Amino acid sequence: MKRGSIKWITVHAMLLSLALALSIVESFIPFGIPGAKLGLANLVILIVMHFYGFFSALLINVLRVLIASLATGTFLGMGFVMSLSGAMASFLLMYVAHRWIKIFTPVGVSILGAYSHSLAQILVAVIYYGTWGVFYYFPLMALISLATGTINGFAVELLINNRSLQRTMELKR
Amino acid sequence: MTEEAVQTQTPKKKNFFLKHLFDFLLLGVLALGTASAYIVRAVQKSQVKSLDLTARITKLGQELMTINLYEEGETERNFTIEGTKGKLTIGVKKNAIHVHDAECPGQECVHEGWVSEPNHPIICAHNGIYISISSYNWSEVIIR
Repeated sequence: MKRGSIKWITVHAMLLSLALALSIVESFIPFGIPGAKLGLANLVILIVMHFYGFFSALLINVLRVLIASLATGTFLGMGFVMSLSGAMASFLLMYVAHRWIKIFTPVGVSILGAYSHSLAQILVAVIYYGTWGVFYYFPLMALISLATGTINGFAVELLINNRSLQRTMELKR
Repeated sequence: MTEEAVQTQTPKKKNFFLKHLFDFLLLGVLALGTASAYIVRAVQKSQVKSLDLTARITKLGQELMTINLYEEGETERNFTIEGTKGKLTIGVKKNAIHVHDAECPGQECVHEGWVSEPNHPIICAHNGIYISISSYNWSEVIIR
């Protein structure tokens, strides 16, 4: 699929819509901890990374965070900064694990992504508020991220091994 | 289940664990590290004896006010502060503080409820508000 072609734009727009819908839905599920989420949108990012590579996954990830923050009214606020930094840190680490550290399956990549997302958010909050007191939330946030990361990882593994999805994503002509 | 079926299932099960060996190792290491941090926090919490608490409210790192929570009454007192994007109504009573109401989409700070534990902060990321609670240092007063 050629980058910039009608097919490429259509497929990426559909994947972005899916990631956005999941992102907005999960923002309404309260965990009681600032920044803690189910990480459903990460399912789409991992699948895109697997099928289409770095650029597509990065594009969808950045646009997802930007548009979701506009839709939920957090754009340019602290929530947005935390969300963007978490998304970028987890994305880069997931890509490194997926591309170069070949010992992990999508489950390990997802766990790494979820954990680094929490850690990056906390570190940004530490810088923003100028206190290490924010780390109070980290143990619980990290345990939640490990659980959600594992579940999402197995879901991604099932999906990328699904023949029907493979045919759809690879767009067999 | 026939013997043949058992024989065909065993390698599949083995494959699953072998395939995910490093994933489970990673999960174990991270879970262990996080659990240790959780235990350290619980131990620190249990060592705090004083119940005389103070709350410090900051906006984007700038101190807005400090409240001696031990001087508050048993009934709740409310006041409003201005965050970066909206207002927050803070409620205080003896040795406890909470965010009663906040103009933010997530409402995580409101869901946090009453906090009466040192080192347990309340954060309203949307409004840049950070409320830290600490044990009042009486020894410092005596030395002064």
